[in-house]
Amino acid sequence: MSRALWFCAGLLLCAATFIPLSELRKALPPAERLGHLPSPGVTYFASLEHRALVSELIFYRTMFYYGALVHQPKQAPDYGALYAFLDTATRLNPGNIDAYYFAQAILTWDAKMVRPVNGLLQRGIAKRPWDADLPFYLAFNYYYFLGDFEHAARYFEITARLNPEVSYFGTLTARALYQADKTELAIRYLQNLLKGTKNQAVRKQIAVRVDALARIRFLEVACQRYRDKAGRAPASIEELVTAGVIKGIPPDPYGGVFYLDPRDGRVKTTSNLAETRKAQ
Amino acid sequence: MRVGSFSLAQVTFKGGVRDRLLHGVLVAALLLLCSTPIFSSFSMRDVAGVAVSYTLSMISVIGVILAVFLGGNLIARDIQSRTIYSVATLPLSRSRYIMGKYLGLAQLLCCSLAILGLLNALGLAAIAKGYPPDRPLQWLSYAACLAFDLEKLLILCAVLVLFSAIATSTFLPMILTLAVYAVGESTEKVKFFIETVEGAKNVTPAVRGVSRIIYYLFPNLSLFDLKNQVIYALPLDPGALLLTALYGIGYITVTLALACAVFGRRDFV
Repeated sequence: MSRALWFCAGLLLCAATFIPLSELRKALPPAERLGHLPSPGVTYFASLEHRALVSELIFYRTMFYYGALVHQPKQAPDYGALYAFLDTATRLNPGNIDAYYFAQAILTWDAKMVRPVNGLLQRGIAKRPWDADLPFYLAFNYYYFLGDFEHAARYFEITARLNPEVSYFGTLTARALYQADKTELAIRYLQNLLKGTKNQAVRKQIAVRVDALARIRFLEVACQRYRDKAGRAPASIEELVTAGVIKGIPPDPYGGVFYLDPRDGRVKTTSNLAETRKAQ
Repeated sequence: MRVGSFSLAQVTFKGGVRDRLLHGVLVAALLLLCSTPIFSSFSMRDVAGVAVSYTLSMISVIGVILAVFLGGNLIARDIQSRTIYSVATLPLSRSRYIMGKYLGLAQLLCCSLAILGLLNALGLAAIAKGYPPDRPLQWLSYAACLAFDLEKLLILCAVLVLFSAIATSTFLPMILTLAVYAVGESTEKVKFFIETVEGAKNVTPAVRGVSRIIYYLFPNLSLFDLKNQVIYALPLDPGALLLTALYGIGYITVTLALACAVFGRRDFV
């Protein structure tokens, strides 16, 4: 009888403390939950023969941290820490495709860390010479973010060689050299990225970006139609509506407003294709 | 009538099969392998690759646990329970006693790894069917990876037997063998680092010398790690594999010969 009593008392104590403790842990800022990693060198040697597994575990930690933050619009992720984790993950296992994919999908667009991500991708290309996705990402980064058409063409060519079944990679090689339309390229690239992911948080981010770019593309086509009709470029987006080319201006899914940049005449948005969040 | 090493190996094997530690570890291993679909499902692009890296690491960890904890008790238990005195009366040389114990443990590890490897292969085949990897799984590489993992464990067992032949405590050989495992897994990377320009700048000549001695003295266990070849379906180099297998056999032979020599001179009175 006394044993049963002790058992029940212990169980009650566990239940009474564990639930509030879980709530306390949940309330911790996500940055604290991401924590810190030892230096890549220490992690490398401490992982012994399990580097591939440890690399994946580090990536999982990064992904869960980001997934938790996606639903908290008031706090921006600590992109520096995210990059450090992905860097360590890819040093432990340079073949970890998940880490490259995540870096490409999130850090280039949201954190504008294009050059550091390019460094990671170079590491991946060296270890995954059969993979057509990594040179494609690198080519896209050079083309879209950095405007480096020479490097972009080189990596589009590698992509086309590795994946001859996808004909548009081949045409992109030529397009990159002629500075073809960036928006259409970005939509195709993001659709390729979207095809390969199961993670809901990342899928949502990419889908919103595709949606925003499709609206920009819609406005760009309308501008072209206006030019064909009026013989000059429109002065503003609103002019497309008043001229009857489009019925209305679509809203920016990121909460910004579309406008025509007077410097280059391109359609842009005040949100800069990123959700407005408070920096940490 | 002389008692052969193989008879003692059979006795050791049968004793090991009845060991509850073996049952417990194998059940834990199977539970861990069952968790593979959950673990790998978090991967964004390479579910099958993650499943392979997770399960091969698990099998390797379980193998090291079995080798160290089952092997650690082999000789120490005989000494502590004074069974060694009865063994000494048998027409069995001390070298044959050591070899018999080692072969029994080797059989036990071989069977455990075969069971885990086979069950894991079934699970991996199912995962690869559901989530086809970029490059199809190479089952020959998988079998080679398990075979070289077993050879690595046999080296560790030989080291453990050597320490058990010297030490009087049960735990010291286990801890020392775990240390050899950690050093053996890192020594190659350390040597390669100190030979780079960066390493030459940051490491003193004394440390470089010690690292070189450690590199040649301790077993280089990185050679036996073929996980990346399985995960990314990379081609195997038959020449390198043959050299690795021979290196492992050589290291085991030298270590067991030393263990027999030390155990032969040991005084139990």
